[in-house]
Amino acid sequence: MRNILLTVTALATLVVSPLAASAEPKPRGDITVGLAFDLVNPWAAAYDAAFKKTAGELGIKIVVLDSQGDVPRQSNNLRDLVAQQVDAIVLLPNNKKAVIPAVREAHDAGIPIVLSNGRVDESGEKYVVAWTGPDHHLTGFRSGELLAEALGGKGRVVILTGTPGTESSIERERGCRDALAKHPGIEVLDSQPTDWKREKAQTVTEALISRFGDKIDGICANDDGISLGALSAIDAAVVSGRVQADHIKVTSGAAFAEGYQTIKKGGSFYGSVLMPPEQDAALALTTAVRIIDGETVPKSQFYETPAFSRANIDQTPIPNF
Amino acid sequence: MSAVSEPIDGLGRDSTNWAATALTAIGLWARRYPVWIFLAAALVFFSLKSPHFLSVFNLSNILLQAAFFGFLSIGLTLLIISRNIDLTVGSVAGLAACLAVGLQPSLGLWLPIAIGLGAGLAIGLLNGFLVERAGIDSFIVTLAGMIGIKGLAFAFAGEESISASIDLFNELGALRIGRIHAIALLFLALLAIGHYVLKHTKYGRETYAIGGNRTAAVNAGVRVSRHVIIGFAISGLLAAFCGIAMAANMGAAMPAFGLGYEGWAIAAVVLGGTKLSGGSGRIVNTLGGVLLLASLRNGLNMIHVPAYYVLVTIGGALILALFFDTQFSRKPRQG
Amino acid sequence: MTNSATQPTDDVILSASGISKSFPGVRALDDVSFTLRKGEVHALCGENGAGKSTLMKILAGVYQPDGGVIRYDGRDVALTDPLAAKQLGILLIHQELSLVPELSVAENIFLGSLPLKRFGRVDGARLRADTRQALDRLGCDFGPDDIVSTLSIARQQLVEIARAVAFQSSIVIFDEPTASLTQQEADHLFQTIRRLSESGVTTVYISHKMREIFEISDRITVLRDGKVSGGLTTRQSNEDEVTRLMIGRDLDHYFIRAERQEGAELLRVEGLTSGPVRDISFNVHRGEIVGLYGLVGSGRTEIAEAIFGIRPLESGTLSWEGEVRSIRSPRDAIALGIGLVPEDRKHQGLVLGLGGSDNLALPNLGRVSRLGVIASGLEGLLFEDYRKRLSISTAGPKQPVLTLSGGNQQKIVIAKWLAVAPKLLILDEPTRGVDVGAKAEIHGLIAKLAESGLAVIVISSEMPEIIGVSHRILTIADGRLTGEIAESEFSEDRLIAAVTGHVWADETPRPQAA
Repeated sequence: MRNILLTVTALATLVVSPLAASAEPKPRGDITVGLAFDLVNPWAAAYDAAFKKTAGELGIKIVVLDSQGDVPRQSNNLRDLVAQQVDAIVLLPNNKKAVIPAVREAHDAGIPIVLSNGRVDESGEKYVVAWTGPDHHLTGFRSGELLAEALGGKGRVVILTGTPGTESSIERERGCRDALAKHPGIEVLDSQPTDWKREKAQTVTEALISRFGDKIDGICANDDGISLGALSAIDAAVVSGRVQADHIKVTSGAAFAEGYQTIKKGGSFYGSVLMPPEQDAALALTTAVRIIDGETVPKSQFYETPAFSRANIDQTPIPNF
Repeated sequence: MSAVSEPIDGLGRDSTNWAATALTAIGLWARRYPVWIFLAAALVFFSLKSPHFLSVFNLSNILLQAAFFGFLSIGLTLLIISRNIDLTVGSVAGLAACLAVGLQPSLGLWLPIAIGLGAGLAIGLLNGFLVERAGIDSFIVTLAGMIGIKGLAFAFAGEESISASIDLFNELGALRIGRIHAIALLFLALLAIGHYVLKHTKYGRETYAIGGNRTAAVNAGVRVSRHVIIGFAISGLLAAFCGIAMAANMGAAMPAFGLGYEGWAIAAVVLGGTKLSGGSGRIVNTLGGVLLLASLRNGLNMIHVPAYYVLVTIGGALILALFFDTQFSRKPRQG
Repeated sequence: MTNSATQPTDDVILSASGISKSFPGVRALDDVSFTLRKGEVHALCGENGAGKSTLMKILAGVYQPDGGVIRYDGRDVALTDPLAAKQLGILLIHQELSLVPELSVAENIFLGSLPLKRFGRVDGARLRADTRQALDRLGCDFGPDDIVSTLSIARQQLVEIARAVAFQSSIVIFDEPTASLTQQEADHLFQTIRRLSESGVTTVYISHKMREIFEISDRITVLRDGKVSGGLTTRQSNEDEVTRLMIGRDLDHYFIRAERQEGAELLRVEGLTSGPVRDISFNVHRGEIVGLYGLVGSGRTEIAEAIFGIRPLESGTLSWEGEVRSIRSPRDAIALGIGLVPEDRKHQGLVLGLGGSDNLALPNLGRVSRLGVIASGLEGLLFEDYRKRLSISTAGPKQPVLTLSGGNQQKIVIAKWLAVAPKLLILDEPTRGVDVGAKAEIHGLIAKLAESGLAVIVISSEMPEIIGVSHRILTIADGRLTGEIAESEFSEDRLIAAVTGHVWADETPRPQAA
């Protein structure tokens, strides 16, 4: 009941918001969109570059504020964007909860917020106009399909997840299981968390190989970092003669540059799923502009995340992070 | 504590004379406390560069951002004048925030706040005892404390953030009086109290005496150890206050709250002209330092300077301000 | 003011003419001219604030003069920084020595110009040999490898002088060099200075102590208020003339001893033992001035510190008004009614950055505040009261005491204890670093206090002072009480004998301790 009420309130705000209600769309050159995020890794750098490129194409101005992973600073940055009266804010929250009061202040000041990639707690959703980002269930599903394809529809597999409780890990694992369930010949032996850490992925895989020996035919990992950790463990097991070379096939739910190159070389790593930050940033920014133009946008939008393997790798762009 | 500039004759018989006197007085004051000149320059520069800088919303925004590390700088001014330092403040803020929020589900609103403040007070007392009774240098004691307490906060709360479950807590954190955040007003009120204590009380006078010449203070019968321990306790309490205010304002807490704030707070104190060698300094000028740093951070955001360069610029400004400070305050010795 | 000291002669090594220097609000030097001859010992006298230090710092390149010419060895020179002065051969030896305590004697002497071998390694052999040579020329009893912090102050001073020898300085400036030396050490220093003179080195000697000036110097330049008030040849002058030139008037009463009106016993010290001080027993009565005489390092200061609660007693008792009391901290001592004017007022007595009124109020904060809040009116009145009573001259109550003259600083230290209304006041070297005029005022004040019933202990290593003010003198040597001399028997010979252990001042001479 409460949720419905909240949603109604959110929609009402959207409709009566002066920006949304204005009949004449603002000239492109007068639009400023703020971006609040953490420029702390190559992925974020690629996102930043893509955001700027899209802004150039749209002919709008942007203000980029980087909080460098500092949670209170992101709130400060949001307030600084509000003070500058930007027309909309694209936010990649670095904390689901602590950012909410600042998001609320933006909302109260009539500035629409588009969440990109990450989400905020349920209590803050009413202050947010839209969410854009990857469909983690779909990327997980595609990594499962790739593995089934690699194994010819039958075999025993293990799943390596990220940090338990995080949305991306939960959804990718679910997607992976959903895809594998379509193949009766495939049996899931176990699922183990790795906290998104390459080293932990390696030790977990070593333990799995000790436990199951050459019974493992495939590994479905939640991202390339995990895949690469698993591959290190597999290589060691191959050298010590415990498993056959290239027997175990590995797929992943999110591609990095290093994983891409490994897939290209051939071997155990079969394929992965592209999550291009270019598409991510472009979708977030265009959504923000559509809101400024007064359009009604879906509450949730996914960008395209194609799967690839060695077979079609030459038609797939290299991830730049 | 140097002499206060002469009050300006308010009778103003001759207006040009009055204006000249006022200008001279302002000039003298500015020479002695250049932080206000820097602040004024920063405000003028940013308001020329960004039309939004001088808006009421933004000024209250700056004040709120200033308030958080400002709480820490009040206690640090007292300690630095008495020739001590407290590096634990940032970590204590994180710990107090986690305690005040993390205990809400089991203990309600007020008791966790009291526990958070109590933890700050206890850590302050412990710092003071280690410095005074065990005779370890305050830099070492609080450096160790800074690391250890951070660990404690992570042990209590984990790496994830904890969200405040009591609405009143969040409402208090977001409360505004007029258009100014209640937290910012609270900071100004505490700062005014700190100023009064330093300027007009026995405790304040003894603070300057201890920092200026500890031996002379002991010989004059001042209870120096007790005084310094109280100073650390005040600092710890204000640090806890900072953390809890941050948690209330953000409706959540995590151990990383207050990370690196000790650096900002110390920088603000030093920008305000308080010497690390102790014995002199004024809390109003610490306010100048706090506002200057907050204005620089906010203003550089306003004119879209990338985050890394913001830090570079602030570091450079710090050196520049201190350079001018030493140039102005260099006094000739007479034979 | 023309005088013989400014006449150019053939053997002039340095001449300064028309030197002026102003600091904001102060004209420190005004058209000062003087000359230094090769190999002479030239004393520079003047009250604190007369401009001695400023002049010396100009010669040493620390300050730049606003006007005037300095000629060195017949040519104009610009002493733009201390290094330039050092390279010309002018070396200033500060009152506070500038040595690195944890380095060796040799390293200290050659710091900044250590002899090097290839690859920047220090040439230890040459370093030691050069140092040894310099030390031998001064007749030092320590070696190049001794660590400076293990040497006495006098020996450390010799290390600084050795620098002058090693670098073949032609002018060495001493700023109050005997301030922390014993008589023997001072004598040794004078020998060293004479040796330097014989080898052609010019010495500039700054001191307050008339006796030393007349013992060591060839010529005297007197400064007053930034101007040269006289240039004298030592042999043709006397102490009175110098004093008159320094203060600009005659000093009629140098010492005014208090009318003796002894009251009841106030403090009794029995078997006091603490650190270097062993088994000291004596008493002090109300209205009495007890002098404690001993050389620096004899333990006199430690006795004062033990009574005042700064250093713990190992054994012995203190009785106050007939009752045994334990004094564990200055707070306890103050509560009983004891005040201490310490030997080193800058480090132990004053907070230099604070104003006069702040310093005065420090032990009296309880009285001038209500519920911890200082009543600035009361504080101001307190300061004003004592400023008048002790004629302290300051620009205002908040003028930092750092900028006051030694005499005014000392008056503030005394005033802060008088404000506590003590029954016993201990003054440790009350006139050290205080100019002649203020010295007489302090002596007069001590007499007045005793006449008003206050018990006073005066510690001093200046014999004229201790003889001039005391009613009774206790002599201390090597941490022990070596004698008690009644007023009728005061004499310098008696004091010297008592502290050097030759004669016991008792009725019956005792054998010397083995």
